[in-house]
Amino acid sequence: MPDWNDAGLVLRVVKQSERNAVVTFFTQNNGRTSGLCKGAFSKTNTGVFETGNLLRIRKTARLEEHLGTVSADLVTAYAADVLNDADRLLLLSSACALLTMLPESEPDEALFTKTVSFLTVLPFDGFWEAYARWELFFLTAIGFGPDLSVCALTGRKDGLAYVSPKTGRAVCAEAAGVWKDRLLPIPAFLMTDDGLAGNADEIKKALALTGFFLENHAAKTLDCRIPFARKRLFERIMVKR
Amino acid sequence: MNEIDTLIRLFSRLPGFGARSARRTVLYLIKKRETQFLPLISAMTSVAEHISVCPVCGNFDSQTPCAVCRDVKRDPTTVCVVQDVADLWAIERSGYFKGKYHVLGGLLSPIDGTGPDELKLPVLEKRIRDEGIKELILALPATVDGQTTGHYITELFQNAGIRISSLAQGIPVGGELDYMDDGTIRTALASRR
Repeated sequence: MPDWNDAGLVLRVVKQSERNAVVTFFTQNNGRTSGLCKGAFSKTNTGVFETGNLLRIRKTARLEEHLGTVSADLVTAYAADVLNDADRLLLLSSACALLTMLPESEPDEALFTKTVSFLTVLPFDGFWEAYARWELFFLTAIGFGPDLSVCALTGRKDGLAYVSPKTGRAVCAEAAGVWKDRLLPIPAFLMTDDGLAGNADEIKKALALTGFFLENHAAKTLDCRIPFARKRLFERIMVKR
Repeated sequence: MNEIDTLIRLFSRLPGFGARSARRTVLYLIKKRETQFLPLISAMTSVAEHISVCPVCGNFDSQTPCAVCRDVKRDPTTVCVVQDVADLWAIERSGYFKGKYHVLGGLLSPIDGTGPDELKLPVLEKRIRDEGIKELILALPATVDGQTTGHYITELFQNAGIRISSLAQGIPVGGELDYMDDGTIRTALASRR
């Protein structure tokens, strides 16, 4: 009989009746989970069940396979910080939409911590870079990330500049040779923990790289579609920046 | 199942009603047959027969265009964009806004995949082109979906030569900080003036 307390990020809220909702969370110790939140749309819960918010939740259910009910207290209103910024809001939506692709009830504490860190830096400068790095981490967490540790041809660990779309392995600039047009470029900032992109093109390249693995490896293998929010994000950056 | 049970069942499906309140309401109506029940039936029949969606703004009215769109005293150059007719009615109750409206009929939801095609944006685009609109006031919910929709509309019409504004966000009139949720306080601080 599940009865636990955990920290959870709100991913999706589906209105169930006038005041109730079925809310999907990404929790620290219990992975992705859903539950019926009674009074989710009541006055006392105004602004609580917003996508991206960090909550302290308690879930109870009679049986493991039941939906169960969830009660929650707001910990950090990450959504409120970005409501007035179109780019940041879309990044928050995209990250939360991608997290709905996670398998149910499979905890990943490292991904949870990385996501909370990303949401914390989202209101500040360097948020595009933070998102690209988060997406790369997400891909690795679900098992579809490119291997950016070593050059597949020379064994070198530095100077990695491209990724093979087929094998997902990195190649350094010198080894890429005439095949470089068929490879996906790795922007330099993506190889660092907090480096900034030199220009908008690097952000585009980073999102094109992660987008390729999301679409052609993750989505196809998991038999799901790339979330609408992620598609819109890419369209937006291609047009705007 | 007799007629009364059917009526109770129908009432219990309405917003704000449960089985118990539906029973109480039906019992009340039966007891007040002449003064409440029959006038209610008459009013409901009339509304069901005559009400339609205004082709201009999306409001509900018994005439087309609706009373708001026909009102010549209203400023036709200022249009308030709302999610639903309920929001239009809420703004009308305040008695402050003297322009016209446009009901979107929903919100964009990047998480659920609700796209711009599902909103009444082409009609709004046509109105901006044909009606000489000078300002759009985005009166959309202060939620992720509401603000996503607001940003989308702002970008869609940024080159249309009109002013686009949004409702302010923050501490409500009569609100005490001690009772405010964190999100409201953060937003109020961020949009301080």
